[in-house]
Amino acid sequence: MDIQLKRGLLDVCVLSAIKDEDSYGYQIIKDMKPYVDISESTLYPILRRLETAEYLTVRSVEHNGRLRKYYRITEAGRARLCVFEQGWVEMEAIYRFIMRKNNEMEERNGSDE
Amino acid sequence: MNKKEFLAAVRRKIKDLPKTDVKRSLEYYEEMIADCMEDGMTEAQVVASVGTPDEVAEQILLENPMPPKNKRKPETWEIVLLCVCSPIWFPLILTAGIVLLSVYIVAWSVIISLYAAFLSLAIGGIAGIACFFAMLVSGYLVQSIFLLGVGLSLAGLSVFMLLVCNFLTSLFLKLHKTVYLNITKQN
Repeated sequence: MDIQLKRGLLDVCVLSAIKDEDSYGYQIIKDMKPYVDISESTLYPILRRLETAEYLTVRSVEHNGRLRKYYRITEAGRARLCVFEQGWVEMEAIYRFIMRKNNEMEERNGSDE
Repeated sequence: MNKKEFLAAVRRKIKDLPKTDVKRSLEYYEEMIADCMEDGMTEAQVVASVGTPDEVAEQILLENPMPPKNKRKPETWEIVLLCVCSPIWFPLILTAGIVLLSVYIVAWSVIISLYAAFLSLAIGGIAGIACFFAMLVSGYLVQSIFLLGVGLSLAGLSVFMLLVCNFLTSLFLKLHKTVYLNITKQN
C-alpha cells in the first residue's frame, strides 16, 4: 500500500482504537492486529505524532510495579475522526474516478491489439 | 538477544537524539516488551517479534529530526601541536595582520592625497581667476589673460580630479562591502 496514504490512515486507526476508552501500546496493537498490519515499531512514531498534534494525551499508570503509559483521545482527536468520516465520501469518489480511468485505459489498450 | 541487550543496542543507535527522546523511546519499548511477556510470550520471542534494533532505531530516527551535529572537537594532539608551534605562527599572523593594516591605511592615504590634489587645483583655479581680475584692474592686459587661461585650466583639472576621487572612493567602499559579505557568508 502507498506508504504516505497508509501513514495517514494509521493515525486515524490509532485514534479510533482509543476512542471509547484509554488504552496502552500493547493493547492498541492487539486491537488493531486482526484488521491492520501494524508493528510495535510503527506504532511508536504514530503515538508521538498524535501527541505532538495534541490529538491524544499520555499519562503513566502503575501496573505490576512498573509504569505503563495510557493514551487518551482529546477533543481535537475526536474532531480529527469526524473530519475523516466526512472526508470518506470524497475519498470514495476519488477512488471511483481512479478506477474508472484505469479501466478505460485497459479497454483502450485491449482494443488496440 | 534479551530485553536488556535489545534496549542497549537501540540506545546506541539513537544516542545522538535529544536525551528526552531517547528516554521516551526506550521507555516505550521497555513497556511493550514487558506487556508482551505478561501476555505469555518468552523474552526471546518478544524481542524477536519487535524487530531488529536497526529497524526500531530507524523508525525512531525517521520521526525525530536529528539536531544539527556539533562541530568536531579538536583532538588533544592537535591542541598540543597548536601550542607548541605558537612561537612560529603567532609572529607570522601578527606580521600578516600588520601588513594588511598598513595596506589599508596606505589605500586611504592615497585617496586622501588625491582629494588634497583636487583641493589645491581648485584653489589654484580660483586664485588664477582672482588674479586675472586684479591684473586687469591694474592694467596688465596680456598678463591678466595668461592668468585667466591658467586659472580656467586648473579649475577644469580640479573638476576632473574630483570625478577620479569620487570614483576611487566608491570603488574602495564597495570592496569593503564585498569583503564583509564574504566573511559573514563563511561563518
